Amino acid sequence: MFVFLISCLLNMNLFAQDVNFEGILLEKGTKKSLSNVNVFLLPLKLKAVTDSRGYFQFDKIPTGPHQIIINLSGYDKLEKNIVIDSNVKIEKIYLEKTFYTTFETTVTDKRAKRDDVTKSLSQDEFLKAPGSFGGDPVRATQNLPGVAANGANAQIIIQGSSPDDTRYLINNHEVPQVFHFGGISSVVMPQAVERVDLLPSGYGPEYSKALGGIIGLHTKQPRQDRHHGMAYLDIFNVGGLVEGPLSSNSGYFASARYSYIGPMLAKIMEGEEDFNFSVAPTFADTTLLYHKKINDKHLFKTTVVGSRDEVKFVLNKPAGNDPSIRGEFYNLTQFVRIIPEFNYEINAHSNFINSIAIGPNKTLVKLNGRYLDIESKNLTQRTEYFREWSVRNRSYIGLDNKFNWYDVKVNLPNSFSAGNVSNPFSVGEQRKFQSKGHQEELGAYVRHEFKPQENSKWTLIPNLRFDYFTSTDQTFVEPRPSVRYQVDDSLVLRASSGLYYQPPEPQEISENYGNPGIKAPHAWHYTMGFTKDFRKGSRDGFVFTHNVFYKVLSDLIIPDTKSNYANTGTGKIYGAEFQTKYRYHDWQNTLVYTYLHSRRSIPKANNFPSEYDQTHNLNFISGYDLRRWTFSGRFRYVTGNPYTSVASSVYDADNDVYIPVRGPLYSDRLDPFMQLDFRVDRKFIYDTWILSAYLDVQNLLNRKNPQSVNYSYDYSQKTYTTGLPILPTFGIKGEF
Amino acid sequence: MKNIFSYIFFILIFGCGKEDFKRVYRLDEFRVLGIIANNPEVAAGSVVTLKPILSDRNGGGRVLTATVTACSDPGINLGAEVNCTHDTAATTATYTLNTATDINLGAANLYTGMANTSINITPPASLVNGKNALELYNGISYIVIFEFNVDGKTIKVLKRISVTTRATLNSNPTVSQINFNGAAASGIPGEDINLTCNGGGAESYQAYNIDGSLETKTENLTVAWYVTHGKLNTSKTDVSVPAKFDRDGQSISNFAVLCIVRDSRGGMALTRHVVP
Repeated sequence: MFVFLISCLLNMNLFAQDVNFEGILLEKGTKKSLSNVNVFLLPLKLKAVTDSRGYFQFDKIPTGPHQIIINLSGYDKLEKNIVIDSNVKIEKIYLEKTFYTTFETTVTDKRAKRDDVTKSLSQDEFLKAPGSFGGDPVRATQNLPGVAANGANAQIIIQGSSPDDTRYLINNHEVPQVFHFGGISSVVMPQAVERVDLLPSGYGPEYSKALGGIIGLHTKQPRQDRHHGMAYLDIFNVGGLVEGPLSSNSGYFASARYSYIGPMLAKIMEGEEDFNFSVAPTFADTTLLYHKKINDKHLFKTTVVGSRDEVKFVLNKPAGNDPSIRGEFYNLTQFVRIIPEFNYEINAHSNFINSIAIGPNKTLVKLNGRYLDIESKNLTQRTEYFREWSVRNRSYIGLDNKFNWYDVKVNLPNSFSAGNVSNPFSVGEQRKFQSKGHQEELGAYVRHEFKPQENSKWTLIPNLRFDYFTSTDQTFVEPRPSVRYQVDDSLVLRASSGLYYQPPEPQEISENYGNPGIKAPHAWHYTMGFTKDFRKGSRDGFVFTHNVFYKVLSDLIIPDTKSNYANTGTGKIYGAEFQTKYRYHDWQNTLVYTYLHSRRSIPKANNFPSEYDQTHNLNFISGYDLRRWTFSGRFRYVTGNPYTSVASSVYDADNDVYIPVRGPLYSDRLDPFMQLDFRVDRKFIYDTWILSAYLDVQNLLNRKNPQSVNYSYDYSQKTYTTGLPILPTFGIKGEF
Repeated sequence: MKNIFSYIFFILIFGCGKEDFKRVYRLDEFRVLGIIANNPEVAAGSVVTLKPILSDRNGGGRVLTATVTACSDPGINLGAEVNCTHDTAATTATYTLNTATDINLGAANLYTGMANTSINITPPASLVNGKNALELYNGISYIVIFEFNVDGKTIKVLKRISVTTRATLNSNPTVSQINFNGAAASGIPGEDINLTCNGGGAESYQAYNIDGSLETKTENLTVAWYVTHGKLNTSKTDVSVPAKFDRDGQSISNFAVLCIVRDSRGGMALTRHVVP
């Protein structure tokens, strides 16, 4: 009996070993380490806490079945049965988040929103915006107050201004185009963009040369926790990215996209007699980011953006209104920008930033022997010094310069257009020339923020901007004062005004094509508004924003029969914007309404509506997050655009075309635009990667929204071209 | 510049092949298809004889009258309206044509072709006053506006006469005959017929570019096609490229096809094939 007991004791010692149980806690799908998390081991009622790497350890645990319990806010509770044995291993435990935001970004620039008129969309907001063709950041700005799209293409209209009056920036440097042709997609991978800013009327002195407004894309800081990747496929294009650490204090991001909509179209149109693609329309772009924290005070980063669009086709059948539009058509548009930036935190109260952007542009259009060939080399430079003099005074002093070397070859007729009705190509005077040269646009600015007393609710901001354009040999002093009154934490009132100049387009001031004597058009902006936050610190509730704006446009450049172009146009734009955001738990709603009038006057016509006079612009966006599902929808109503009817025509017997005789400018109006879009996103979370899929249906009601007027060859018949029909787009994405 | 591209792209995407519109190559109602000048380019003070190319297939033979106004070009290529209100020296005359009795028209030709009835226009010598040498060499435009009122509609037609100091003046291109599938046109065409016409006479000439450079160019001859019945795959081609004719299921008892060759400098020539 005694021997039996001794042997049982020995056996118990042999089988009931104590081992160290080690584990690592990671976020499911992203593999992100979860630190400082309590891990409980039952039935022993032991607790361990994960370190910065997500690592935890329990010492001297008897082998056998146990249970791991982790209950962390923002994550699903984990109750996992495990069997601890004597094999030495590190148990990987994956904890699933309640909600996933793909590629979370944080705003790194503390002074990002120094301008009160700025409206921003974060990456999470534009990636899931309905009707944005899969999350395009620039398209998503159409959901902001005061912003409209220009009919069939996606060019942005800001508060009734021409799309030509909008400047597009990447990391504060102007780029020649922000959309690939057709407006389907912007030129930067959305996942590379941390936020997109809209600066409408009354924007501050840091930017210039845009009578309408500014749209700025700001790239993100690459993640450095580990290497990540993503690949996606949708009906328009395919792309991918990788990002991660290069060292302990540097990181990289690299992405590329290629569209195959062109080859698909070419296949569909094979055998089409009237039209065939020699080179299917394709676009491609790449975005590269590099960040290096040199030390606590110095940060260096570089952004590289490259874009290429190309199409070639043969038009066997000439266009009805312009028979000279036939034959072989070719277009190539490409640019590269390298944008290095150096940031120096001098001390807690001063900072210095210097950046340049350098790169070539190329635009080539060829049509049946005619051509437009523009090559340029571009350098833009921005420098800013920030100094906080005291609690009541702070200043930003900066330089904003642009240098451009161009080589332009032209063999095109000048094309006269009035009321957005163009004369046929063949009626114009053929112009053939080559022009080489350089242009500079030099700028400097001061923003000064001043509080009368330390705890004053008032902030006075007497900004000033200086510009010099070599193209017109003009120097400008542009005051841009603004004021802010912080009533309390929930209510801020603001007002701003300013003088803005914009350089003429190259063809307008060309010696051979335009009028070298024209001057830069300009505008006075006045805007005031307020934002009231009703949420009282909560995540749920209302935020209400209201603005009114008034713009006076002068010296607008219009075609002239004697001098090609003249500064004889004027205009007025005024209106009001309302935005209400309401959030209740996982349900978010935004209602945006803009009321505006945009009027123009020219010598032969006084006070007519401009092409961009969209009296009512209503957007309602609603979204609901349901764990792995996200549903969102958007309804838009926009007053129909004005257009100029053609009253009759004159047959040009020499060129065999009809020259339109225009009625009163913009005296007719298209039917209103109405569209309902719907989007659903689904995430599939696996331990080490995430699969996402989305379906985005534009124009769910298949409404035939008229976009433009189309005429027969002699302008005696007309019909309306409608926009896109119901258009489902879908895509899948894998990320690790 | 990007507006030019937008215009082209816009026309291409939205302006092509609208099936509901009448076809530019179909001759139904009264139309003026061109105006031939005996000399499209002249020295100042020279007389130019103009004859319209027209089609009045359903007019049944009638008298047509047009007011003809001639003046200096107000800058139509820069967007000026086509009229002579700017020129106090503008002249006005009346052009009268009887489509039944004109020897080039009449019922036998389905009232379609170049009228034999003409009108003479003389660009004044004062037209060249104040013009520089480059403009004079390239040619100063003198416009002639025909205004017909037919069947309740006003049809306005523009013709330019180029006044130049150039030694070698532009002359009209030539065209001899229309071919069906390479052979001289005969009868009413059947299905899937390739139409060609023997256009020729492309001239080399010199012209100053806007930057002052003198360039030697060669005329690019284009052909405009018109038919009274059926369908064409294109209304305009280069002179060596055929247009394809299709009966489009129509029963045809009479037929006319016209080929008008232009040299892009105001010169033009006509040939036709008519089955009355």
